[in-house]
Amino acid sequence: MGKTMTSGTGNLKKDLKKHLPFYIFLLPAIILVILFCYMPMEGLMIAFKDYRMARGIEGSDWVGLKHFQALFTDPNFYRVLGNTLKISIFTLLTTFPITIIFTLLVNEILNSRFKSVVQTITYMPHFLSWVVVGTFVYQLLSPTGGVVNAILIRMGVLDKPIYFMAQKDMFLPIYLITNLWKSTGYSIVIYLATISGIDTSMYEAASIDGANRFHRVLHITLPAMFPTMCTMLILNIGSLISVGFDPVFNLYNDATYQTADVISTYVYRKGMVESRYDFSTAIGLFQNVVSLALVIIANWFARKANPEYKII
Amino acid sequence: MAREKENKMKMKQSVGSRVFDICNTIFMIAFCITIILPFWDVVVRSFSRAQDISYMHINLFPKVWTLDAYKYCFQDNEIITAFAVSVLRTIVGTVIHVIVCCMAAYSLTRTEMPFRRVITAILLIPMFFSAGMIPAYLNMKRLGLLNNFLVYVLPTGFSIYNTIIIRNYFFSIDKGMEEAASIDGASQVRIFASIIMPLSKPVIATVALWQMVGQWNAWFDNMVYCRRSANLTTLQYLLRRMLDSLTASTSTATGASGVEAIGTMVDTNPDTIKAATTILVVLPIVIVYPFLQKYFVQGIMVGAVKG
Repeated sequence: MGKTMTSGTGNLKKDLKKHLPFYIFLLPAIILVILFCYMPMEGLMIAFKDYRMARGIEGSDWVGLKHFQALFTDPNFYRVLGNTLKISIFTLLTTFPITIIFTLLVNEILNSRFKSVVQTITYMPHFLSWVVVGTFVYQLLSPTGGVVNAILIRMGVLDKPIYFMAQKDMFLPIYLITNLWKSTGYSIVIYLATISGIDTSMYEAASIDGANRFHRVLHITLPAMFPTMCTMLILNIGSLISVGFDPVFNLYNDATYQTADVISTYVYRKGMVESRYDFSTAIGLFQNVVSLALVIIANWFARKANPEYKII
Repeated sequence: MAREKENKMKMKQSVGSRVFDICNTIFMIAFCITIILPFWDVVVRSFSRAQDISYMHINLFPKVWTLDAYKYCFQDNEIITAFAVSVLRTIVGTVIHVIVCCMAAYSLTRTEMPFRRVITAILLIPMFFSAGMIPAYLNMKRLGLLNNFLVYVLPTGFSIYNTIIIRNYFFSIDKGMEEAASIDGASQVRIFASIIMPLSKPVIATVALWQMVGQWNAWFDNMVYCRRSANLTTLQYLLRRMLDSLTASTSTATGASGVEAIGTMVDTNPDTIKAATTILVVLPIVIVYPFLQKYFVQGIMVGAVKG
């Protein structure tokens, strides 16, 4: 017994020594992760503290769940939570079907050169920052020289220009359209890859049996896409509570806070603008815990649906 | 190819199919125009004279072509500095990222390394849970990284996602060469630098391009961590501030009705300058775009493979 133990540790020592260069290679990554991912977690304590900058994170007094109580009685919080859910559900409801339809349409383009031109053009916006996209949108919808207003007035739809970006009812449609503009071309890539894996002899057999193009799409292409669709849907559900900061921040303004403000932007304004560090840390913690739970649940479902699928 | 031919054959047979093709082509062209229109709008503005784009003009081309806006941009110290900062962070940030990720990925290919699972877990957990915006800010403050160039390039230095992609590529490299070099007495550093890295050019190019785009497009770290230092302002944040000057005017108008808002909209930056700055922000992306397109599909596919 004792003998095996010593030889075991001896092996471990030898193994460690043998792998020493590899541990050194891992060191920069580990240091960066500790510095920028684990060290901030200490700051989560202030969600349960009355944070005073002069006394620091450690020195501030514990206040228990005070900030969470304030959070759950804050009407703004429910507005922000509602907006977050509303925006992510509508995003899912628009992007998901439109991506699939667009994939099928692109796949049905017969001329391969035209097909690649379409793909090249539609991928492009994915690589722009939301700042640039926000600038585009403000510019196009501007009441003083924006193309959209000019066209609508020429067509007689409007008699005066509208400041679209300052209309709180317009935020959601503008957000959804912008999102589709930016991401549709990119999101079809994964589906097109699935389609390219379909055995072409299935299409041939179907046409011999008299199936027309529509039938072939309905009975061969769509079913083949189904597993990927499931995975993407589940992944999307995992991020229901986390609407990205970038798109909202670059499309909203004071006039549209009521309908546009989401949890991440609220955290930013409460924390970075109003310096209520402890309170906004509490909101952020709430969001991160819920989204972690959603990701775990979604991942579990994804594995049930498709055993080959793995995040980790 | 065969399917295409067969499809073409079918097309001749069915009227419905041909009608569909025509509609589909029209739709695709319309969609592409929708994508291009905002770009074109900015290009036209940037080459126009300020007085030509004032109110309710729809210009497919500038009335008079001029480089005034660009001349202004290239004389404006703020814009030049911002451009330099953006270029610098893109280069430094990408180099650090590629080196750190490749080194980590190489180590993670050692399946028999003790504690490999523990180390992987440590690197992986932050992907699922982060402390959030405010704790991150307080941490940067404690580390003395506020208003410091390093805040642009160090936190982005490592990504577990890219590391796994690189590692999967490393796995596909023939082990024989490495063993031969090892027998010849080459050190691990040497094997890594002169055998593994040169053989992994495609995956390194993919990750480097992604990181370059990410660095070039980053603006949030600038807004939160380097808000007050003018000489660390990036081009993206400069553009964002121009957007701010536009949105700030909505608060005075309270957005009750669009008509009121027009009267109070005070815009400190002429549209043409803003458009030229936007072009400066977008142009580098457009230049690397052909390479991006070549590599990124491949990257997505590698990413879909389990880690």
